[in-house]
Amino acid sequence: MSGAGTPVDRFVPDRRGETFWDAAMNKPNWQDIWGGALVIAFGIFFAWYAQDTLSLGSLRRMGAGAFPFAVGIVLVILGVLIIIPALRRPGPKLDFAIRTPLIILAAVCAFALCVPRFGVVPAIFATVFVSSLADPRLTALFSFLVAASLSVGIWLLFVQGLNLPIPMFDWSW
Amino acid sequence: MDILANVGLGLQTALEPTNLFYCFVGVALGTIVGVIPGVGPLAAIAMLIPLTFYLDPTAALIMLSGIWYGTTYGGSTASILLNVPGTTSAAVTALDGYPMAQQGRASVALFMTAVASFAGGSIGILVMMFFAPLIAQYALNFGPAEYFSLMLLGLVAASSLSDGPPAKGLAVVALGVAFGCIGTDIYSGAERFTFDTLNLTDGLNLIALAIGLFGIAEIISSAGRKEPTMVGKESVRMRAMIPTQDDRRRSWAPVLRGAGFGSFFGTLPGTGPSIASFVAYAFEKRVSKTPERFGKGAIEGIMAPESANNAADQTSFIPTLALGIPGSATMALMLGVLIIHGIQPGPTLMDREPELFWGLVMSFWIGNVLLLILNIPLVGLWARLLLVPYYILYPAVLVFICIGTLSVQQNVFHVWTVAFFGLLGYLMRVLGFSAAPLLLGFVLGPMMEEHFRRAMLISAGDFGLFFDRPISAVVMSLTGLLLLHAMYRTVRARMKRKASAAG
Repeated sequence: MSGAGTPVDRFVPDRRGETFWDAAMNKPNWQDIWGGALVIAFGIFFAWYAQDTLSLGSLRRMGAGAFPFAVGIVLVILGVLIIIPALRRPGPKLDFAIRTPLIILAAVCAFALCVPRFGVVPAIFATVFVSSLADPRLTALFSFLVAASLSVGIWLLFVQGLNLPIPMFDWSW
Repeated sequence: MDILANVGLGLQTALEPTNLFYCFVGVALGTIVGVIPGVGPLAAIAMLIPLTFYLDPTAALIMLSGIWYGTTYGGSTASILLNVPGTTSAAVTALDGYPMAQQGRASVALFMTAVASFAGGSIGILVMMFFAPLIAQYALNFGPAEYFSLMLLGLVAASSLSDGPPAKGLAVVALGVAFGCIGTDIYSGAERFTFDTLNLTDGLNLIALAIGLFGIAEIISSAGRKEPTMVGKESVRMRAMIPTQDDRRRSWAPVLRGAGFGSFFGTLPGTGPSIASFVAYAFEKRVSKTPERFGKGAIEGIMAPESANNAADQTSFIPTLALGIPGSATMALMLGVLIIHGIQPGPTLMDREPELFWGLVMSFWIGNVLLLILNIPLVGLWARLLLVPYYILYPAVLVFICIGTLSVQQNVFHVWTVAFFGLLGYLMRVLGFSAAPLLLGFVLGPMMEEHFRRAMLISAGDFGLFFDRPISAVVMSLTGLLLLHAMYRTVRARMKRKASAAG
């Protein structure tokens, strides 16, 4: 869709311009193939783990494992149904960033790691500083100010307001 | 009159100072969340649930619902001024709202969408007031077979009606049901998929799952992006808001039709406000004598969808409150809140908790009036919110997500859950799966299993039960038809591609 009609686009074949051969042989829908494969893998694991650790019982008296087992099987079937049409169909290119997701997830993990060891305030600073890596406009000074004001706000809201029993600082070790 | 007594009781509850206060907080927060693109209603509601643990259930639901319909009011602001919808249900509003802003008519558009939202919302509430009790009455003699069939229909509809290949939507729902299996089995007490950790014996935490899936995934895809440019900043003034005679004449019919579509699609599982607004827009364009004006700033093109999405917001509460079966991810969260507060949802809710039900319904009226007041004189303020750059917001949102999740049970494990589902949510986005049905499956899955196992106990393992009971049989056939339709769509899409590839 982007910039359709610009001179450059005329030399880049769009999806409609492809011959059936191209569509069938060169460009399967990798998005759905990967998605379907992951769904199948998860379904197999889920069904296997259910029948391995839980009793299936009978339809009359279903065991704890019966429903999860069935869900696992359904997932495998759906995964196959996702993959089959994807093999012969062109799809969007797999387009993903690595840096931003890693930084944001690392910021959450930093919080989870810091809270039990150092308390909430250090965890807030860690989260803000790690997440600031995702945008160059967030300078160290600015991040410091954001983290400091968040610490005060959260102390007011959660500790003073809601009496949450979480230590703001925990240097007990 | 029974309904009058209920309305009186509801008004009395909704007008209590605490409830009134939380209604205001909810709609104000909703407007802010709706205005700012990159923070959706689902993530916002999930993030604020921990704060509502300390409230009584009525106040909690009043506030969270306020966020839900408040976002729909606010969502149109970003659509009109930035051409970036603040919420998905306001996406259609950008088609004609943004051209209006480019023509210097942003204030008129903002004023008229607020009016359309109010009108649509009001009609939706009226529909809810009359139909919810009827449906609940009817549902009183539903057994496990009916409930299982209805929930199955809800899940299949929610996943196969969304865009993209139906198999992908169904897979996401099944994934949600699978995650819902984790925890202690209610019948046998067996530990399922807990991997010998105490943290999982109560199952995955609904709030952590929702925050990770929607909040974190949203931040990932919005952080570091360029800020969109705003048009019509200068024209957002009270004085410029007065619509012309022509605007008013063109508006009332689309508003009424939009509210009709909205009320209808709101009650159905899987459709909701976004689809309602699309259908309403398409219908207006079709019945218009001047369809060429659409997309170039036609006032009908903003009135119909804004009326439709607000009506749908209200009527989507009908199946959730009257049957205990949510039709969308947001409603699944609302149902989760009820359960967290120890209230069993279902058709008897209205009898058992009349203050909660009628108080909530009447709070919708109050909330809609508050939103009208908030949105018309203060629209300049909200528009200025759009100028707050996202890079200032996202670290704060992230911290709030972490601390909110931690506060649920003071358990760091839930923060790890958020990180896990954040990763899953991003992966699903990359692979083109929509995440909302997962939440629906997660909430409905355990209920479905319970009803299914109860039904099997009653029928001694005979599947025929689902087809012997008339209501269940009808619902099951509808589910079958939906699946057939999904298959037909897949095949037809392939035929079309072949035809276009060959030609």
